[in-house]
Amino acid sequence: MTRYILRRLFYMAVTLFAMITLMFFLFRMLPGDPTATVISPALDEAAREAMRRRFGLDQPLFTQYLAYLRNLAVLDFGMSFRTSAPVWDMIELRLVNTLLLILPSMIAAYVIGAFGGALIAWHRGGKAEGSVVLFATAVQSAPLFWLSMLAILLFSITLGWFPTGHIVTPGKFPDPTWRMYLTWDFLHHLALPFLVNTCYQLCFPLLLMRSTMLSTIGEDYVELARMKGLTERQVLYGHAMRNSLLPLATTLPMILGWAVAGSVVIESVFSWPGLGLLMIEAITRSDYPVVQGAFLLIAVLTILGTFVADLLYGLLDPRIVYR
Amino acid sequence: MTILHIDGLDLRYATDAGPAAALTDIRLRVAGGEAIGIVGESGCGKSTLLKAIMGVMPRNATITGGAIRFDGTDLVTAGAEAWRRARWKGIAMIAQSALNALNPVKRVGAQIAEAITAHETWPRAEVEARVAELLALVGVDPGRARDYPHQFSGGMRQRVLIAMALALRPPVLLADEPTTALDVIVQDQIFRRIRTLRGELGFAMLLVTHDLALVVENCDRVVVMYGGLVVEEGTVADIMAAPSHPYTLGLYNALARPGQRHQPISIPGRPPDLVDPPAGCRFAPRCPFALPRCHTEAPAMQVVSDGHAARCLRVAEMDTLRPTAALPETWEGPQP
Amino acid sequence: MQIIFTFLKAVWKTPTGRFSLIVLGIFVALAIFGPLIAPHDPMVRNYGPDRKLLRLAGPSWDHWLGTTLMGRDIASQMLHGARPALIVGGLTALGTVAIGLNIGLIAGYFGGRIDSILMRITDVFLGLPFLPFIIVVLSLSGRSLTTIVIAMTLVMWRSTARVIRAQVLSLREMPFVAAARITGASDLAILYREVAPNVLPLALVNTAFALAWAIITEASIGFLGFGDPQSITWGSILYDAYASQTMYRAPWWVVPPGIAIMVLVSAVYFAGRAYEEVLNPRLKGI
Repeated sequence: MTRYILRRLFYMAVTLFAMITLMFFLFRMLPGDPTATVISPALDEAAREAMRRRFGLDQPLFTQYLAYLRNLAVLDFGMSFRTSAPVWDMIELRLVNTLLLILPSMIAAYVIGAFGGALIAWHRGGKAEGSVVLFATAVQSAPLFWLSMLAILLFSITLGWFPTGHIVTPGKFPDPTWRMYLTWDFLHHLALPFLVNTCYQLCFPLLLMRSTMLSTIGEDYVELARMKGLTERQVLYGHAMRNSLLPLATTLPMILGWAVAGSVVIESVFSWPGLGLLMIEAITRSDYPVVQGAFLLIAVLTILGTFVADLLYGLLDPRIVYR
Repeated sequence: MTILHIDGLDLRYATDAGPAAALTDIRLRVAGGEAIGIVGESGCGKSTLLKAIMGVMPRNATITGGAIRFDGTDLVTAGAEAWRRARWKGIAMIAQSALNALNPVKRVGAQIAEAITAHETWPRAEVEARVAELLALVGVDPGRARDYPHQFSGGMRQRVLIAMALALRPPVLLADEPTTALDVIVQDQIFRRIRTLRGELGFAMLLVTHDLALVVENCDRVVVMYGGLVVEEGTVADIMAAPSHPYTLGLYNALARPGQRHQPISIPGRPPDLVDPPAGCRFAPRCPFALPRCHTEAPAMQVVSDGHAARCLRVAEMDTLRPTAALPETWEGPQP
Repeated sequence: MQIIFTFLKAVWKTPTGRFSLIVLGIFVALAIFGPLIAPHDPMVRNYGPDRKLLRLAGPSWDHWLGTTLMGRDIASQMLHGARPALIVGGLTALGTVAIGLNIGLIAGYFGGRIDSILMRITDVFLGLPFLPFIIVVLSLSGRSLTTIVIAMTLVMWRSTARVIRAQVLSLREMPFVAAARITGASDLAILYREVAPNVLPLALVNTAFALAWAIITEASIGFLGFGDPQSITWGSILYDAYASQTMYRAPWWVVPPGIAIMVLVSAVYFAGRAYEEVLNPRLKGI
């Protein structure tokens, strides 16, 4: 077990290193000069030179790469081209905003999806199953940004129940602190993107749970559980659903990483100042230290998530022995 | 005293081709402590019968008539909750496939305990003590209650299933081919264990198998099923001495006996289509002794002797047919 | 080619599958003939009888789905949008499966160091944030339908590779592989003649899901403003509507593109699932 964890940690380090390298050169090798838009051609030659030196852009590429690695080792993600602020400070705040939206919504989606999928599989063959599957597939097939637009159209514009966007009423907190998150105003702004994201994200676990359950229900041990005189509830939750949760649980950490990355779309529609919106802003402004930092963070989240998923599987399924 | 009385049970499967009469008018009385062997080819309805008694039929199955009386109560009409209570406490089952019948992600001890707590409100310590006692009873180290199914060998898993079946000391035990997946030596051990336990605990047993030899060793009475019907029933001694249905004769021939001169003879042909069963005797299309009227007239159970009956129009001539039936060429004739 | 025929035949057997195929057929027809039957030039500004620009006009006989803020005919834009959606989605799905299938086959079959290296590469791509990565590639390499296909393929093959590899790992132990080896077949021959045909059904299901996902992603890219500026796509229609800040006054502008995407993608999902049910009948849930 210890050997397994050590080996996995080593692989993760290798993956991460490969990723850092890939991203560093990607931003510099693709056609188009990312520095062109940052360093204004209007500046005189001396000023441009000074700026290049300040960001280390006058050095050979390989020296830049080594410097980048050296800085990362002490968790220094560099400075934003645009604001000269440390990248980590910019990301930190945005990450909190994204996680406040995405985490609760993914947890809700998985809980509802797991139970919903289990129940429709349990009562299979009826009209209810057919309509739930049709509805979930339709929602899953619609682009999330479009669903968000419809939600705004219906709940914000027509019914006026929720604000159309932003994390709090603009101008209400000129100097944001963590207290901002404890206000009714914040929750009011959170509600609609949370609901839309939850409804969208729950389709995947729901449909996956349903198909896993359909296989599990036919197993001999489910029949034996019923023969033992367990109540239908005990058979459903204690055996059929318990066993079907395995494949679902393992998708959660990875999907979580993807959901953080996918927050781009929902944050754009709702003007939610999270990591996704930050990435879009940074990409349009060629502020690549920020993009690199955000990518790295998401990569770490995803890679760690996959690792946790594998450990979780071993914990939930005694047949798996790690070597 | 009758503990389980199956009274004219009819069961149908809804299939794509139409309703299939899986069980037709099954009548069976099980006395307390008695062991009955149910034999027949696969697809004859024996496993369906056991599942119907347990009340865990597949979703496309419906009981269309008759009663399953346990201790005087008809479980079919008593309602789902009453039937659930009777399961395992009244009638328990040794499941067929030891590998898949245990939930792979639960400890075996917990799976046995679960059967107890579904019916009794014993304190936890008492449940655990009972689990340990049960495992010891079937010859499994009680310390292994905390192991998972995949850590057991096939024979050990089968013992666990027997322990589980005995958890609430049920008066009736059903066993559906409990040893099919096991080799002969382990099979022998398991049945020896079951016989000992039956001697100690005195439960009645319904043993489903396609192996007549196991029935002879373990049972008092035999029920032969064919095409969803009981075609012959009687004591083991009666049926071994005077099998009185051509199908039983066929099964009898298929039995490998020590000192036998020729190879066991198998019955050619396939079990009948139950969506559209043969009009007369259901065995007639495969029967070497079928007369023209056998194809049109459905026979009722005919008494052979006291407690021995067979569903054949030619029961009276059976003594003359029996020697012919022992010859391999009888079964080689042109079959449809 | 054969496998696609069997796929269609298998899907056609189930009612939902048949319905999905009909819907897909309609969309393919629209992709081919859509621009021909479009009543207006999608980029032309339309004027009313009073010579005023038809800004945000509601649906009418002349403009079935109304007009945009710039007076452009939405129905015509919709009809032009089917082609890029299917071409970009289809090419991406093909590219995804071509790469994912080969990497999965090679990694799963050869195992050892090759597997280890290929899987680390897959891990690197699995860690990439999906949509942001595509946008970075697009913003650095220029925005056209070709670059969109390449950018999407670059991050989508990763899941297919993993699924295929898992399947190959179990196939590798099958007797028919050992039998082929005894006859002296080379590794490559065994891999592509014996193993590959057995993972093709799984690869097909994956193609369907990749197609679905690619169509949604292409729309998302368009919506975020990184689509091909030269072509009209359902995503770009929604982007225009959103950017105009007037979409909430004109539901006819916002609703149709989303419906089109939803119906098309649902049909793809249902077709894929119908095929999955044929492969694994238990999923039908009897």
